[in-house]
Amino acid sequence: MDLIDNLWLGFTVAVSWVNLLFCLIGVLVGTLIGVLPGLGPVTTIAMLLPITYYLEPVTALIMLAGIFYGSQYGGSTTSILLNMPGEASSVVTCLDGHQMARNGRAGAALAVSAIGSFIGGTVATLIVAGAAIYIADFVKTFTSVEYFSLMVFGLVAAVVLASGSVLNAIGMVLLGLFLGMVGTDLSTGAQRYVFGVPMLADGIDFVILATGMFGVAEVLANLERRIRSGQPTAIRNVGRAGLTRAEWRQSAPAIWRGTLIGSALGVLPGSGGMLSAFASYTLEKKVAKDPSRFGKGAIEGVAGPESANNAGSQTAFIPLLTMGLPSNATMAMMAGAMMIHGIVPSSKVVTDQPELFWGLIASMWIGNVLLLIINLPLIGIWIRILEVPYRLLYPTVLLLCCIGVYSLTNSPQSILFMLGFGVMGWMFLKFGCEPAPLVLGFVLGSRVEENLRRAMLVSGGDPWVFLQRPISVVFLVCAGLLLLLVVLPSFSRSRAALKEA
Amino acid sequence: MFICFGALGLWFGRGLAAGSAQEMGPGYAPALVCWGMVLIGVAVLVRSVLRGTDPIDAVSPRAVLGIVAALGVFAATIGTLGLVLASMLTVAVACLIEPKLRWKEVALLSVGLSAAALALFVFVLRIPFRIWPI
Repeated sequence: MDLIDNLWLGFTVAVSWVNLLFCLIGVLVGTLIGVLPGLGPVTTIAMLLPITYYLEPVTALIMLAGIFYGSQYGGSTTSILLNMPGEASSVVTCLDGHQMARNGRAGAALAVSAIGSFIGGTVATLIVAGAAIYIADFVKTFTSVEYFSLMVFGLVAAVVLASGSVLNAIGMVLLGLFLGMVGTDLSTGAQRYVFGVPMLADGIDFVILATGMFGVAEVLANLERRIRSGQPTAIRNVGRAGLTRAEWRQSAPAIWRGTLIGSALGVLPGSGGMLSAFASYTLEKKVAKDPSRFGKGAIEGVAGPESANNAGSQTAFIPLLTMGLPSNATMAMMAGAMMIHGIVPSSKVVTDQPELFWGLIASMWIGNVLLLIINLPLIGIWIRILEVPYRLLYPTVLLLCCIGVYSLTNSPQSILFMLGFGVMGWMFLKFGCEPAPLVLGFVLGSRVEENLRRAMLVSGGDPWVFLQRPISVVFLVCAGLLLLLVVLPSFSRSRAALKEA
Repeated sequence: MFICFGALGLWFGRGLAAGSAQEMGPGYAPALVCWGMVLIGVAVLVRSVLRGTDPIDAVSPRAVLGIVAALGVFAATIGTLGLVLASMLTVAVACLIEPKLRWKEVALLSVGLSAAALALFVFVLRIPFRIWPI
C-alpha cells in the first residue's frame, strides 16, 4: 500500500506539464546522441549540467535520466544499421543485429530491440521502486564506520569491474579523491592546495571538471581517432517492421532472461549496461538449441542484450538513490547534478525528498513509454541523423561546454580551467587511464574523508574499528575478494575478452 | 605520472597540520591519498619495466592546438565582445581543425550555432549575458 501511495505521488509529480516536457526532451536528446556514434551520454550530460542549474531539481534529474536510458535505446539503432556501436553498451547488438539487417530483417531487429528495451525498462523500474525503500531504511542504520567501508567497497568494485588496467584505475580514483579535497577543509576551515586562486577556495567546481574531462577531452580524442578512419555507410533498407510469429516465440524468453540479468547486474557498481549485455548474450548462446546461428542473425542475440542493457541502466540508479554511491560515470554525473542543487545524494533522499525520488522513478516509466512511441514510427528520421558528420558536431559540443561553464561562473578563467582538465583528461586517455574512476573518486572525495575522520574520532584513532562492526567487515571483505579476483588468471582473461569485443 | 601528482601533493601539503589519527588535521587525508598515488605510480613503473609498455599513439598537434585556441578565444572575447561574436569566433576557430576547409559550411555553422546559443541561453533560460560588444 505504501508502494502504491508513493508511486501515486511520483506520478502526480511526473505528469506535470513541465516535467513531461523535459522527460520528452531528455529521451529525444538521449536517442539522438545514442544514434550518433562519437557522442555518448556522459559527454552529453556533462555538457548539459550547467543548463540544469536553471531548472527545478526534479525536472533536471528527469531530463538527465531520460538522456541516459534514451541513449541505450538509440545505441541499438546504430549497431543494427551501421555495424558500429552508437554506445558502448550496444556493442554485442552489432553481432547479430547487423547480420539481421543484412538479411533484410533490419525492421524486425529494430522492433525487437525497442520492445525488449521497453519490457526491460519497465520491470527494472518496478524493481527500483520496490527495493529502494528497504535498502534506504537499512542504510540509515549505518554509522560513519559503515559508510566509509561502503564507499571503499563501491570504489573498489567500480575499479575492478570497469575495463582497462586496474592499477591505472586505482591511481585515477586516488587522484579523484585528491582533487575532491582541494579547497577549504570542511571541519577546520583551512585552505588546501588553493595557491591563492580565489576560484579554488570552494573546491574544484564539478561542472568544470566534468565538462573538461568528458566534453573537451572526448572531442580531442575523437578528432584524433577520426582523422585516421573514414565514415561507414548505413543500411537504408529497413524492411518490414513487424515480427513474425516464429520470431516472437524465439525472442520472448530471451527478453525475460535479459531483463533479469540486466536488473541484477545493473546494481553492481562499475558495471552498467555493457556487462549486462555481454552476460545476456553469453547466456542466450548457452541455452539456444543451435548455438551456431549466433553471429549470423539470431534474433535472441538482439532481444536478450537489448533488454539487459536497458534494465541495467534503470537499476544502476539504486545504489545512487538509496546509498549515495554512484556506480558508474553517468551516475557520478547525476550525483553532480544533485549536488549542484544542494541535495546530498544519500539514503535521506528517499525520505526527505519523496517528490524528487518517486517523481524520478515514475518519470522513468513514462520515459520508456515515450521511447517506444518515438522510436518505432520515427525510425526513418533517426537513420537520417546517422549521416550527420562529426565535423558539424564537435564545434557544437565545444561551444555548449564554453557557454554553459561561463553561465555558471561568469569568469573567463573557468573556461581555462575547463581547458586544463580537458587536456589532462585527454592525456590520461593517451596513457590508457579511463577518466570515469577519477570522477567517482572526486564525487565521493569529501564524504570519504569526512566519514573516515568521524569514525576515527569515535574510535579514538583505532583503525581496527572497521573490522569490529559486522556490516563494515562484510563490505571490506567483499572489496578484498574483488581485488583478489583480479589477480586470478581466468578472470583477467575474461576481462581481456570483454575489452577486445 | 602518479608519482608526480603524489609528490606535488605531499610537497604543497607539508604546511598543513596532519594531527593524530584521532583528531585528524586538514593535512591527514590528503597525505594518505598522496602516499597512495606515489605507491601506485611506483607499481605502474615496475610493471612497465617488467612487461614493456604499449607505445602511445601519435599525437595530432592540429587537434590539440585547435581546441586550445578555440577555448582560448572564447575565454578572451566573451567578456568584451559579447556572446554572439564570441560564439561565432569560437566555432570558426574550432572548424579550422578539419583538414579540408569548407568556408560556406563554417560560416553557416558559426552563425547558426551562435543564434541557437542566443535563443537558448538568453531568451529561454534568461541568463544575463553581455550579448553585443559595448
